Amino acid sequence: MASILRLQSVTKIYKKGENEVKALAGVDIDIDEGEFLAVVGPSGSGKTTLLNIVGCLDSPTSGSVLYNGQVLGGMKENELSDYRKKHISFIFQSYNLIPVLTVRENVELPLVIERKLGKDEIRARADEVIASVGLEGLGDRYPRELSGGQEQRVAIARALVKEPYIVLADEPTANLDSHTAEEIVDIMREINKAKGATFIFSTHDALVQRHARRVITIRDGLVHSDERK
Amino acid sequence: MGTLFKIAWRNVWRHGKRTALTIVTMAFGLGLYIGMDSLLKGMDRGGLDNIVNLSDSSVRVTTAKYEEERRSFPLEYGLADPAGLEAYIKKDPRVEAVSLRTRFVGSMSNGTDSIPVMAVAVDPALDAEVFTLTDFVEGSWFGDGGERDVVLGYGLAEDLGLRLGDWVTLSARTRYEAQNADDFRVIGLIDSTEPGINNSGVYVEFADAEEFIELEGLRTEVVVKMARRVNLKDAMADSDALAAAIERDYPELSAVSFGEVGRSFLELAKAKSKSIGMIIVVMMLIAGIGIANTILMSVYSRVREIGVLRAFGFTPKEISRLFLIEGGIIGFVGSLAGVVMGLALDLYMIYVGFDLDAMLKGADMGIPIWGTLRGEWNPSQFAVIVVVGVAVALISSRSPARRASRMEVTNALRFV
Repeated sequence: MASILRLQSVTKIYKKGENEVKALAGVDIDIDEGEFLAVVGPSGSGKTTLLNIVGCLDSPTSGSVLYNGQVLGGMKENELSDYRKKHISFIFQSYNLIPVLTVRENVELPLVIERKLGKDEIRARADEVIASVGLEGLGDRYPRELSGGQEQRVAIARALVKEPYIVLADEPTANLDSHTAEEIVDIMREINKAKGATFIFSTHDALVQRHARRVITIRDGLVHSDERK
Repeated sequence: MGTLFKIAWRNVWRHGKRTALTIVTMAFGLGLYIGMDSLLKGMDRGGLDNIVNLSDSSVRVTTAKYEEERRSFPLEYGLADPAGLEAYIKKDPRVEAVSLRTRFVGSMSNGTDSIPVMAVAVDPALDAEVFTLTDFVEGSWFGDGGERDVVLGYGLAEDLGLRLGDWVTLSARTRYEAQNADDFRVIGLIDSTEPGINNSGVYVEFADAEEFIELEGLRTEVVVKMARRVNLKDAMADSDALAAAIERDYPELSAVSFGEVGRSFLELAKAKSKSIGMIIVVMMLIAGIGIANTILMSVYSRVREIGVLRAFGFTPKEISRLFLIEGGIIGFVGSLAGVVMGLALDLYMIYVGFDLDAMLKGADMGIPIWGTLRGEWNPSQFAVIVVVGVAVALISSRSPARRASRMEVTNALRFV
């Protein structure tokens, strides 16, 4: 498979007063299109920092990130926003749905921000994705009217609606019971198979690790192991 | 823009109490301002109308010498050619009516008590075209001319225990300094909004005054009513222009514009306008701080939401715009509520008003406002209020909106 994302000697150093904290100490990773990849490691190992850099939410202190061969370093804020808007989606541990928007409006949001499709198309696409995560009929509900599992399904639908190349999921099952977590992982795996979207998780969850086809372990800001199944 | 507006609109009402408090503060301030503005405008107009309609008319013309000794109503300084002057004034198209008057000092007695009075000899028909005294007359504003009739102030009649139809003795010095007294029948009582007229005003017909004070056609003043103008400044300019023209063409005359008469009144009005201006500045400052605080609280309660929107591709500018729209909505709704409150106040003041006579019990305020004080419509003010309200809201929201737009996405997403 073609490499969609390449990290070369990526470091990230945070300054806390006089002290420097090395979150990533030189990471080299190649990620292929359509991978279902889990990044694991203890708390503070650098998982979230890695995902932030891959997701263009943060920039590396040194090293480079190549997306389809294009170097992302040196982009301005608006260009990074544009890049995220087009290519990357996020699933968060706490779902982070917009509380004043209905399920459908939340799912439509990335397409509305993207401004590529018409109103009817956006609605049709949103309804289709909502149905694909098993929430048909709940489009007009607000997040406060849903269970945790349902909220995470909406978050998945929102992440997938624009058919991104990369979906970054930060501890997506951490707030769910094991049964719901399994359902959520199954949904993501099915979408990964059907749509070919690349999924990158940061997780502690053994369930996610069990289903991942590749597991990268990060320790002290370095790739400790890279296991393909 | 549609989605931004939708998110902004719903977030504004998500914290209903907070928003309502800000809107109420704003509406109260703006509504009060509209009401006070209406009241001041009404005072301007009410005072102006009283000057013009009851006491001084738009322009009052006397000889210059008469004007110098005006307080004693000297009969020796009459107008040389009142009819010619009247014709000259009527040439001005802005003039609606002209009347001639002769004032004289006298005293009125019921046989027991005697009270000094300010008497005016008038042509009843012409005088009624210039002044609105007839609106306040109980009885009649002179009749068939069969008897010697007098119309006098209600307060004066009360002091002398007089009623309609009673006979009263009027004493005065004639033009030739002789003392004369004669009986007059009380035909009308004036209960006007001008305390001076009510307490000491006496009106007689020229026909009766001719013999009584030996007038022999003497007229001491010409009073002029000019067309009513919506704008106070225009009305004053009209009167000033006519007065200036008369003094230019008749150097021996003194023409007093109502603007001159009411100068102190208008100065007072101006001073009040300044103080109301300060009130609006303070109110807007309070509203601005309220809105800034509301938006800032909104920003801090939605840090993660900001992070999510940024992660999905919102630019910093769009985040800033989102909060500016929220501030704008609060400003707009607050201003509208202020206009509604102001409208209600205006309606009360215009159609009900404040009864100054009842409140002041006939006391003279020292400024020419009597009777019921009413408000004035100022619709252009409503639009200004909405524009100013939204502008204040946008300016106040700018700082918190900028703060939201400058948040680091990663920090925002981590925020709990």
